[in-house]
Amino acid sequence: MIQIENLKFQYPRAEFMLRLPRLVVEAGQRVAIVGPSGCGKTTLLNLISGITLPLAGTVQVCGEEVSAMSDASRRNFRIAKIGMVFQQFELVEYLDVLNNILLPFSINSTLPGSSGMRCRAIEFAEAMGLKEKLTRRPAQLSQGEQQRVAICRALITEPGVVLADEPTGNLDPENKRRILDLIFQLAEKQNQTLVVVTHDMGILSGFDRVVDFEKMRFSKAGEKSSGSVDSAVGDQA
Amino acid sequence: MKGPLGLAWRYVLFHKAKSLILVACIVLTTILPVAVKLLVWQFDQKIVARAASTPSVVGAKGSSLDLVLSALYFKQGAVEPVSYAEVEQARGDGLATAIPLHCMFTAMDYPVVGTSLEYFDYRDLGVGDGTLFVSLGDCVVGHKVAEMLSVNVGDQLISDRANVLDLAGQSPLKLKVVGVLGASRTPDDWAVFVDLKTAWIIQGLGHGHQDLNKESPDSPVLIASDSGRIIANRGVVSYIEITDENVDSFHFHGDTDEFPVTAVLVSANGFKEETILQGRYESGDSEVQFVRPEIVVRDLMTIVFQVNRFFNANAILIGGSTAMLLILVVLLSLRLRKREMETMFRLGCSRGTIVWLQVGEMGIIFGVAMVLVLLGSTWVWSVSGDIVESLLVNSR
Repeated sequence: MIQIENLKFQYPRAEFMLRLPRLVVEAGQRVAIVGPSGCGKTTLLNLISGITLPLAGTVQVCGEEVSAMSDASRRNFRIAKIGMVFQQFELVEYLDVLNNILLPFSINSTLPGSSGMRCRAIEFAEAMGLKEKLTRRPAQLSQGEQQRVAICRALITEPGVVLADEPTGNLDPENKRRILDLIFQLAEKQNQTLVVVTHDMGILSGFDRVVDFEKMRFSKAGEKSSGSVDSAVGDQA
Repeated sequence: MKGPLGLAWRYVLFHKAKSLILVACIVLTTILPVAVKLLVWQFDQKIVARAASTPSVVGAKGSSLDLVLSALYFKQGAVEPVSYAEVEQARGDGLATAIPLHCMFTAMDYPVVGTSLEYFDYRDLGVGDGTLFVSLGDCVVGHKVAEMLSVNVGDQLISDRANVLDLAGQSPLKLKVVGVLGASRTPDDWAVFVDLKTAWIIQGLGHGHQDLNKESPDSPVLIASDSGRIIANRGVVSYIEITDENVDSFHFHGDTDEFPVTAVLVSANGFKEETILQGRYESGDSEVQFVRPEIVVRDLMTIVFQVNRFFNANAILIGGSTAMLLILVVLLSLRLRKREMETMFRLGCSRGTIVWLQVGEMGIIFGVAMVLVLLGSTWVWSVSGDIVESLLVNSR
């Protein structure tokens, strides 16, 4: 589902360079990417989603080479094939819950809009326990509720890949587990590949794989890393 | 509404206060010059049309503009009166039709215009209800006067005192409304018309009182009664209302040829006659002037339009300042919404759509503002005629 080969990326005028010789995430797999701040976790998500382009190497998502696409194709590909969840939820303050969930359809006309999407949004909200709050605005919701809305927004287009950047970073312990379980549950239901960036080691159970960016190791969740696998390298150039 | 325009609409609705302030800024900046433009245009149309329908006016020497405003809009106190003999003189040679105008008093704050019946034909004024005045004390009210004062045929109007502090002055006269003019959308709608003699009675040049011949010699109002010569004191009852019973007692003291009129409308029988008349008034040491209202009014409008140019320049400056303020608000708003825009971009929104979203928001605000400006302008346009007329008639 996601295949990265010989990836190199560096921000302009930055010393840090991300190097990732190889990373393969199978369809339906749940992968956690851990590591301290600044090691390139969020950058990796941006590279996978095509928001930024690598200096070298290839990024294939759903069988398509992201870096070879035009800007417009990449945008259309991103909104159709990739769902994104952010740490700060990033809901639109002036839209109610229902319209926040439907936001992807409002901002990109290439998505096939239909009357069914509204029903699907309501179903998602219902599954997330937001049925009674469809007309509320983000400011009227708790943080846990806001993140649930953000998850609905990420999944409403039924993407093949869901990228979540610190989705539990702003939540209390009780909500962390709850939100993560919901993401797992919905991703499993739609057979979606899930890549979650986190530096919270307490939420790693439940992931199929954990990629430790700092130690450049991949391991099965709950196990100590063994040392030799595909390597991800974040170093000082 | 779907898509970026739907989002823009929701943003505008969510930020009601900000949107309303922006709309108000645009509306106020736009409506004022538009309204002034409409009013000036209407003013121009009305005043020129009125002037064009009045070939020439004769009146006391002095400001020709004041004379024209007095003759066309019944503006009071602006000109010195001339004697009624001027009317007779203008008529005398058969060169023109001369219509006297006496505009010195008001009734319920509306100008009382003393004139002759010819005036109504001259202005093509029809009676909507009732008849024209036929006897002393009758009045015909303009359409707007009737509407504003809610008076109908059979009601009475009381002339205003020239000076409320002059208790010993001429008493007000009760005027009987015998007719209401149809709407003409001219200053005639805002006036009360009486016969010239009734106007002179209001002025105190004529009066009616109890018949002293019928008083007994020991009547307290009589000072002396001797061989047909009767001398009475101030106890004589003067009538403040002209009725069928007392109308015969009304009389004038002095020569009516010397009585005042404020202007004479002169409609010459032809170009040649008009030229002769003009030459007569402009030559020698005539104490009256002969003016063509259209020329006077066009001179006035030249000044008005020059002043209007300054106003236009001011409006442009204010408009520019408001535009810059709006740009500043938009730029600050963009800065505040940077994360929102970034999120949309990360989700898969194009930069073009984001720009379209911004344009949509401003478009909605401008659209709403323009609709309000259009409604406001339509309203101003609908009442501009009345505003201009009332301003001209009531600018005493």
